This record gives sequence, structure tokens and C-alpha cells, in this order.
Amino acid sequence: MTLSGGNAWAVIVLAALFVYSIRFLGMAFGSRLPKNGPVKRAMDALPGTIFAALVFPGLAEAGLPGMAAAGVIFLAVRKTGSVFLAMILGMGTVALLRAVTGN
Amino acid sequence: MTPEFARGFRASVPAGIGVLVYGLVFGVLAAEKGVSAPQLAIMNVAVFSGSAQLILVGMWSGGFPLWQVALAAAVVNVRYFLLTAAVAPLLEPFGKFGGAWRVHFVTDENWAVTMAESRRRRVTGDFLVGGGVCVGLFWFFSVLAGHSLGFTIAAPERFGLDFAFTALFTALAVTMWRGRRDIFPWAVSAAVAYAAFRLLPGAWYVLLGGAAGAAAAAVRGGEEG
Repeated sequence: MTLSGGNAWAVIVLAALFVYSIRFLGMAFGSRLPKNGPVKRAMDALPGTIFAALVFPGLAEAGLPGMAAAGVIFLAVRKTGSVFLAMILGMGTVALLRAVTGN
Repeated sequence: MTPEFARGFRASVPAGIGVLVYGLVFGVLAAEKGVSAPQLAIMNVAVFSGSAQLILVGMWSGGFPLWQVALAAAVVNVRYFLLTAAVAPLLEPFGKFGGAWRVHFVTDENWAVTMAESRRRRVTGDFLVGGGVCVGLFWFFSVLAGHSLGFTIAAPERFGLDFAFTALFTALAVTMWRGRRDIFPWAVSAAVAYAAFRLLPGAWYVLLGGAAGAAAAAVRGGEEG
């Protein structure tokens, strides 16, 4: 199911409200946040753990081409530092393995 | 337009060129997911965050409940809380209302440019906003340009394009890796996410996995970031 019509606009408006709220609340109350301790550690870790949660099930389900591509992407980012290049190489790996295995 | 606004705008042009590349890629992917040009245009202005929009479009065709998609997009942006907290003193002179709309122009790129500049001299809020407008223009037009290119690609799976989001998210995850102290939080995040992915409907796996990983980072002491 793809978002369409009213649902698509609703999700855009809702996300815009949420993201704006974060910007506004940070400006208004951010100075009261602890500078160290558990809350700071959780806030610092959150963006990374969200991406880990987002990516891992998809890679686990993608089978061999997916796992091979993940390895290529990891190496490409660590060696070149380029997200874009890593993404292209990852996609190329999947396309190549599909062509070879005939899927 | 004040001289400070113009200075901020100019100082953010190199960052804007980086945004342009990212915007083109994002636009192609959004076209692939069936997001329309008007929807993207409004999203670019109203959400105005690459990572949030990427999550939004990535989950576009998953059949997830709306609020879960919006919440996942917001949660990945919790760091903005810290960014806008840091520039709050720059926005204070504009008053409550003046600060309230200007804070929307805080992005990773012009925030970093402004913080770097503030080490060398006293910057003002106009410098920050000028940078935000610069980054915003690059973002807006590159995403729409990518979107119009995206529709010309036929049989996307032949080029691995359907894997593009997973590839991009994986690459971004690698850049967020902070070394050994992330092993435990990320392992918790991945395990909880996989269990939730298997057992629960919707996008719970993203929210639960991310929250569990952050909680793991909180309970385990060690060095701070």
C-alpha cells in the first residue's frame, strides 16, 4: 500500500508538526537538559540506534545479495567516507548478484 | 536583507553543494516510491530535514499507520533539540515570535557553519538564518530536479534501485557508528527491532528498537560523547 491522497498529506503535515516541535522545544527549553549522565547518553545514541533498528531487519530478510551488499557498503564508507559512493556500490552489488543468479 | 544574512548565505554555499548531491539522490528515490512533485515541494518547506524526509519516504509504501511514520521521522531528528538549544542565544534578540519562525531554518549544515564562525567572532541570528535559506534553496531545487529525473528510469529493479533505500540507510548507519561504545546499544537495538519486526504489525520495530538501544546506552555508564 502506497500513501496517497489525504493520507499522504496528513503524514506530511504530522511529520512537519513533530519536527518543528523538536526545533522549537530545543530553542525554548534545551538549556535545561542535563549536560551529562544517562539522559545525555540516550540522546547521543538515539540517531544511530534508530538507523540500526531500521536497517537490520531489512538486511536480515534480504538474503545473500542483501548481506553481501551490506558488507560492501560498510567497507566503502569506512575506506572512502562517501555515503553516495557506498550506496551506488551496494546497489551495484545487488544488481550484479541478481544478474548472476538469474533472479 | 542584512549584511549578516548575506554573509551567512555565502558561508553556507559549500555545504549547499553537498546538500545538492544528497537532494538529487533523495528526489530520484522519492519518485521511485510514488511521491508526487507537489507533495515533495511542500515536504521540503514544511519538514525541511533530510533525515526526517528520508525516513518518511522510505516508509511511504510500507502500509504503516500514519502516526507511526510521522513519529519515526521525528525521532530520527531528536538531535535538532540539541542543535536549536545551542543557537537559542542567537535567536533570543528576535523575541518569542521572531525566534519561533527563524528556528525552522536550523539544519545540520548551517548550524555547523554558524558554530564554526562563532568560534572566530560574534555571529548573529541573521547569519544563521541566511545559511538556512541558502541550504533550503539548494535542498528544494535539487530534490525536485532529482524527482523529475527519477520518472525517466524504467525497470528500476534491474539497477538495484529498489534496494536503494536499504543501501542508503545502511551507509548512513555506518557513518553514525561511534566506535566500540556503540556495540552494546546497537546490538540491543538490532535484536529488539528484529523481534518486533517478526512479532508486531506496523513500524513498531523502528521505534522500539531505537528506544531500546538508546535506553541501553543510558544504563551503561562509560565515556560520554
